Amino acid sequence: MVKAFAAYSSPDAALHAIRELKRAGYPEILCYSPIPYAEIQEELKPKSARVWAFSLLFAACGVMFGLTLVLGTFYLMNLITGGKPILSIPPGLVIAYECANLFGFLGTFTGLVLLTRRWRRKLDVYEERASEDKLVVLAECPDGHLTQVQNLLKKAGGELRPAGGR
Amino acid sequence: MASNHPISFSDVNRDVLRTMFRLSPLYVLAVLVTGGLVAWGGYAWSVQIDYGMGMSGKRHPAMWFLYIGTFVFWIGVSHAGTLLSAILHLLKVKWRKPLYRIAEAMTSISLLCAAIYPLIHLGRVWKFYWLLPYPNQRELWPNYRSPLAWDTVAVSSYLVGSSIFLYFGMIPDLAIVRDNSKGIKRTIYGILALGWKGTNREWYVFQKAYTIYACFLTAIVPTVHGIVSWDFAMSIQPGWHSTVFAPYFVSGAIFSGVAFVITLLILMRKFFKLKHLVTDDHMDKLALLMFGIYLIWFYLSLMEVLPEWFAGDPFHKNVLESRFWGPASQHFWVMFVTAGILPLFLISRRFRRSMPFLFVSSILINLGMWAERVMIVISTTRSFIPASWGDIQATWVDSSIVIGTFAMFGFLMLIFCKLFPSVSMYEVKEEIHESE
Amino acid sequence: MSRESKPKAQNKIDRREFLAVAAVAATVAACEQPKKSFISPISYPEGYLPGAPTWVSTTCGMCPAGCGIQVKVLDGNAKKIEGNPAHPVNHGRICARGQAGLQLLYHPDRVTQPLKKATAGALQPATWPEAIELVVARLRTLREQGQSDRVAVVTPHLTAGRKALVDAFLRALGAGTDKHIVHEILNAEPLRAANRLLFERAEIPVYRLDQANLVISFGADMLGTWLSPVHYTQDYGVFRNGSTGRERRGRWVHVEPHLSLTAANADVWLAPKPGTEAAVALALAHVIVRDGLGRGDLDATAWKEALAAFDPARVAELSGVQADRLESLARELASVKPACVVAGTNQASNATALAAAAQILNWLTGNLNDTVRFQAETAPAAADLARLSRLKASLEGGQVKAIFFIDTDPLFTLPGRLGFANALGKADFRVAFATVPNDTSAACDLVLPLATYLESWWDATPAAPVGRTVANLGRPVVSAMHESRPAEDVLLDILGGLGVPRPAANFETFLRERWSSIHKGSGQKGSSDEFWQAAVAAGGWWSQKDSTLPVTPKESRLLDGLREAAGAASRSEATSPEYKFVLYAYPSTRFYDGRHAALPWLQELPDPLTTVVWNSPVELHPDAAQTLGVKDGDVVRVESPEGAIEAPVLVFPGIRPDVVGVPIGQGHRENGRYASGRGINPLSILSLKTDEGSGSLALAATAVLVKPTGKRARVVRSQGSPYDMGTGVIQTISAKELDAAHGVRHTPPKPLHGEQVKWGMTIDLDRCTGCGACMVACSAENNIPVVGEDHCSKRRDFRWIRVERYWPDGGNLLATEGPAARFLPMMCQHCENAPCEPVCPVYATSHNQQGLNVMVYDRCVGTRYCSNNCPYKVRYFNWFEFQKMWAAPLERQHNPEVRVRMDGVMEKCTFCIQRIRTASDRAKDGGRRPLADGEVLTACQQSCPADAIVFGNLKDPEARATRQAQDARGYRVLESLNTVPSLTYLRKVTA
Repeated sequence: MVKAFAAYSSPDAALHAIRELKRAGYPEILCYSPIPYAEIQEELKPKSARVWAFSLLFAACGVMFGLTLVLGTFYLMNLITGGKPILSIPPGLVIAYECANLFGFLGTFTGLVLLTRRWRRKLDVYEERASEDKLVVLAECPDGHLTQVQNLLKKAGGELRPAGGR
Repeated sequence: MASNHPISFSDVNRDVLRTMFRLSPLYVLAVLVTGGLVAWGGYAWSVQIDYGMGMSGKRHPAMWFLYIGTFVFWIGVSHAGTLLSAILHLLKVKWRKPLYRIAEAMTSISLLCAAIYPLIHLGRVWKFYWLLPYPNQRELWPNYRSPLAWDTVAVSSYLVGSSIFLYFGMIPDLAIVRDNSKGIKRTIYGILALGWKGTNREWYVFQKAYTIYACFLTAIVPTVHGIVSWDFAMSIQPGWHSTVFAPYFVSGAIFSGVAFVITLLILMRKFFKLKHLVTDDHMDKLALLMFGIYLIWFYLSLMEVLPEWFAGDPFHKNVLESRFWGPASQHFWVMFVTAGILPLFLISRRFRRSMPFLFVSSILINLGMWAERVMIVISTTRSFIPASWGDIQATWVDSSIVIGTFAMFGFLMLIFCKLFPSVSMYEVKEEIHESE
Repeated sequence: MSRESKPKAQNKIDRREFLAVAAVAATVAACEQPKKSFISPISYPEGYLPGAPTWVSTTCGMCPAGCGIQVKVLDGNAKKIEGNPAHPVNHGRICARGQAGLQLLYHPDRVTQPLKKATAGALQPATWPEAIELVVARLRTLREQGQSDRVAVVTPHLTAGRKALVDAFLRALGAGTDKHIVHEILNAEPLRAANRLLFERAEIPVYRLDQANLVISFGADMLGTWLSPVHYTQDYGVFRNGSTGRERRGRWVHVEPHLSLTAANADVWLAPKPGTEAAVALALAHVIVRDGLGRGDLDATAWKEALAAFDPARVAELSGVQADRLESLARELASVKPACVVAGTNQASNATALAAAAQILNWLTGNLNDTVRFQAETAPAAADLARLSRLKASLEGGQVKAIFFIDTDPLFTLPGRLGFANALGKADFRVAFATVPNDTSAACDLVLPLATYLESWWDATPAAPVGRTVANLGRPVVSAMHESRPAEDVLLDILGGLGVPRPAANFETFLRERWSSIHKGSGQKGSSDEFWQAAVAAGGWWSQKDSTLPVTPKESRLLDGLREAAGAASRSEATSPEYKFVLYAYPSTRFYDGRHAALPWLQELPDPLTTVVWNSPVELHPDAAQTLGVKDGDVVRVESPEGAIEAPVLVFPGIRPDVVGVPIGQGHRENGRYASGRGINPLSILSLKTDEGSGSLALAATAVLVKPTGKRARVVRSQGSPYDMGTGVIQTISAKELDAAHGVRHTPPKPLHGEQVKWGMTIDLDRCTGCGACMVACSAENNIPVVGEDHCSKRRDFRWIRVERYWPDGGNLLATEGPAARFLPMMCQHCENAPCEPVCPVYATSHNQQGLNVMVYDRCVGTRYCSNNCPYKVRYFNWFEFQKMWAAPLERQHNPEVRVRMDGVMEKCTFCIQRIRTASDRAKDGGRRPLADGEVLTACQQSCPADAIVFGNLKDPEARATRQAQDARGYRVLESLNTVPSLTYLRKVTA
């Protein structure tokens, strides 16, 4: 497998190139862009990215942690303060809520880092102007199809970049 | 890129990156002055630790004074940042985009300023770790019945959350910095950018995570100042024990926080020459937002006072009188004029678009809001037992420490602006893209 | 509650323990040198337990009242002074001044060694042999010149053996005992003069306040400083508490132009013009005689004639007290039996007339020999101004060449007009025996370190008789500090040095000889040695039976006395258009006549009425202040023809608008670090007006003018608002309401916490006089630091118990019926739902198994949230390392059973948990459990002279505290907050 890629100045051109590639039967496409363009995002929607699963799992742990911390402390210390019952629930709720958020933050961020990394490992090419104003479309194709794909990219208005790959 | 917008994506990169790294003499002077004031505040703190808490102006029965007042103030300031970065994001408000980075930085830095106050105010600061739940041989744990223990959890969660969020949102911009620099800088920003390349898949995960994160942050914001207000509301002290405190404090927090953002943005526009990115329209919208929150805050202020006055409870009456002409009167009248009356001018578009007016009034509003917090904190000068009533007077130590944290805020903001892009480049680009 | 049934359990045990180790402890106390030696851990004296305190009985030497005390001695250090429960004067109670005696012992500025004046005028250290040789040489020179009688000894009110020794010293030198000048500026000579005039008995009577149903006192601050305040306050407690024990609650009327502590506690306070108190008294007599309300066997015409000038209408005009009030008061006095009329002593220039008028009232209403009695043996007279004037003349004329001052400071107490300082300069040789340097010692050639009453052998007769024969004995409870020695031993050594036969080898043997004659008179069995040992152990000897004797006055003599008094009584103190005000120099409840100003506990103790600490303000009535255009803190100049003083104004409602009040006690030029140069001394500008009958100095008879100076100075007060402000913190109940509630039981909330024991307290506000003894007791017991005036001005003072003083709403005391002041001792309420506890983030304060709100200093991080959330504001914060501020050796008074607190932590009243623990341990050792009621006395309760504080187990239905908590007068402060305090206050009863 080899990789062909080209840079575009307008999102419309890049979108056109992506659609062409898809139509030509090359579904392995990546698009680098300075900002997320809604149409391109829609066109190249990944199968799944369960960030919410990380967030939810962590937040649930946060609730458990908070409740355990508070009620456990009350149980261990076993001291009467202010005539309140030893196992007072309201402070538990407050801390559980805060901990749910804290763990949620950590979970979401962990999700972000892990999920973006998972896909990034495959990529070994990068176009610096992608962080400024260029869109870069990258397509993966069998070794023999390189020229065909490059033409396709060029036709859509892209400036070709040297091919990469193994 | 074919564009009919006056500003191109490259302009954004150039203009924002231009604000970084280069040190003007004025900037160096500002860093030295603020740094010097921080050092002076640190010296004052060391004096307080050495000789005792009595070096500050506190005395019976006002056991809390400037420290807790300023703590509440800083927590309040932080809330506006989250409002702009997270809440308005969820509400899909577009004009927030050029504003939010500086606001989010303000959140984290003001939280840092706030977070040192619980330490400064401890009688035995060297034992501060007793407030944290850590396993220890003596099997001692903090008391989670205390709102102060809730504070520890809430403020530290918020600090962690907002700092990560600040960094989180900055990742694509850090990649831009990386791509535009060489050598060691490139390596450092490369590490910070976590290898961001801006592929559609990264953007996909990023957007998802950003929204989920904003939800968590939105969920924590009202509770943080709510819990801070419970430090007071959970007590039985007249002037503190009031159910209106959580919304009252949160609205006051956002009110003063937005004013703070306005002050910072006006400074940034001027000194970083970013008027084309942060336009008068943006400032107008921000001022309007401030006006709206002012109305809520003003209403809640009245709702704090009117029922107490009308119910005629002697304890509350005594506290109210202390605000009108007692030991808290200076604070009350400063607040009344600057935070109570002055914002009314914002109803006029002319005033909202006048940068000198906005600048001065936003500073005065914050002065008033700071005075309001101190006024509330010293309600204990009129506690239940008339024989215990007292007065309060600041000393050089607590004044220096308060000034020191204001300088610390400025110092850290100055450092932040030079090390990180203070306007979110990719989001400004988004705004440009959408406006085309 | 009668005196005999007061709880004594703890003290009984203390005494038993004491007797068991008495001999050993005495040896230990005598052989210990606490400043350098320690007891070897391998060779304790037998029976000695290191760390276990012993209680040594002795006598209080702080004022002439002669209360019995017990000193807690631990490892050679005196730790606390408490009243001796067996003593007939004070029954275990003691005032603030008495407790502060420890600080005299450990005062950092004590004279540590003899000091002689060098030629340059500065004092230089000398050794004892040198010092004695110096005195001996001077006296020898005088003897060689044939002038050995030209010596004088000035002392405070010495009695018994001490007086005998001074007299023996003078006799041995060949001088007369008239050269012994007793100098007490506060004395009862007018009372003696009046009783001599009327009854031929120059004595102070016994007042049985506890039996009276009505007391009318004229200027006698019986609860504050007058004669025997602890004794009278105890009687006052019984007198007040009509609802428990006594048939009815006594009613008190006080007549004085200035609000003294007694006036503040009286049901009615009448403020006549200064000097017209006698006229007011005679107006009462006039009404009684006119209406035939008094005794029936009168020569009515003669009496009417003698009293003709005192028609209430005329007296009203003279005194400013309305005639109808005089009429009704007279009727009340005639109808309420028994009553008691007491006249104060040396305020006015007609004090003897006033005292005579009071005694005539007592006779007329049949109270003489009932509530007012005479006793066989009483203390001898204190000096009058005439004798000091003569001494001054002798000094000037050279009839006195060598003068000895023993523990007295006439340069401070005598009016500057007398010119005593100048006269003293004319003497050849001046010797001062002083504990702490004072104004007089600064003017002397030789200053000798005087041992305090806690370091010496001495004996005394109480100044005011209590109805039993009392001989007080003082003993050294600790070895002498520094190089100090008792004056008596030094006088004996001087005689030895002169080669004159000494009356005894030392003062102890002198006393033992004297006491063998007391033994003979006492009728006690056993040898005189045994008698002495028992007296040493008990702190003296007192008869068990009543020793009062009835007097039978002759009516003609009374009439003569009345006629003599009438002349003096029919005028007020003179003022002039220029000198419009009368200066009311009054003895301070904290410093007495100024002798205690050096003691930091007393400096920081708020004055009960002005709540001023560390200072002496000029008290002006609000109307007078308005006329002068001054307010609190404005410095005014108070000028008499004799001099002027400047001090800040305190606007004070408790004074007549034509009177200026200044407390006596401050204004020392030299008196240690705590008193030197602090405040003003009103005595210095007094004119030399004396009471005509006795020659005693009139303290409230000088006309002055008051001028604003435009300067400002601080007046530091310990209190915030003086009014209740509608909070209901201080509650009263009218006598009528109380009658209606008769038999009604108040149900306090059931204890929530505590398993077998739930500690609680009651404070009877009707008994509490606000004297402040509890505050000093608490400071002494709990190692509470003294912070000084600066910190006090920032309200950083520590008062685990503080006595709050409230004025009635409106604050116009002169026109308000009922008690002028309401006192509220405020301390940790040990709430069952304590608001301080849940807000502490580190569990530094919580509830224990016995229902106490406990504070763990070591866990405290100092968030101060607990203090914010305490509705009673009784938690105190260590803003600085205050404990390090004690000047050595004051820290030796620290109670080792209570830890000192470090910088940055909160502290508060613990209900004396260390005492609870000690008592519990003792009960456990004895196999008793739970504790008996009254076995634990908190420090405040132990000291309270009025017995207002009761502590006990609220789970014990029979405990005194439980029963009192059910009193119909019971209420809890801020009950509406549902804090459920463990402290029940019993409302003060208003008329």
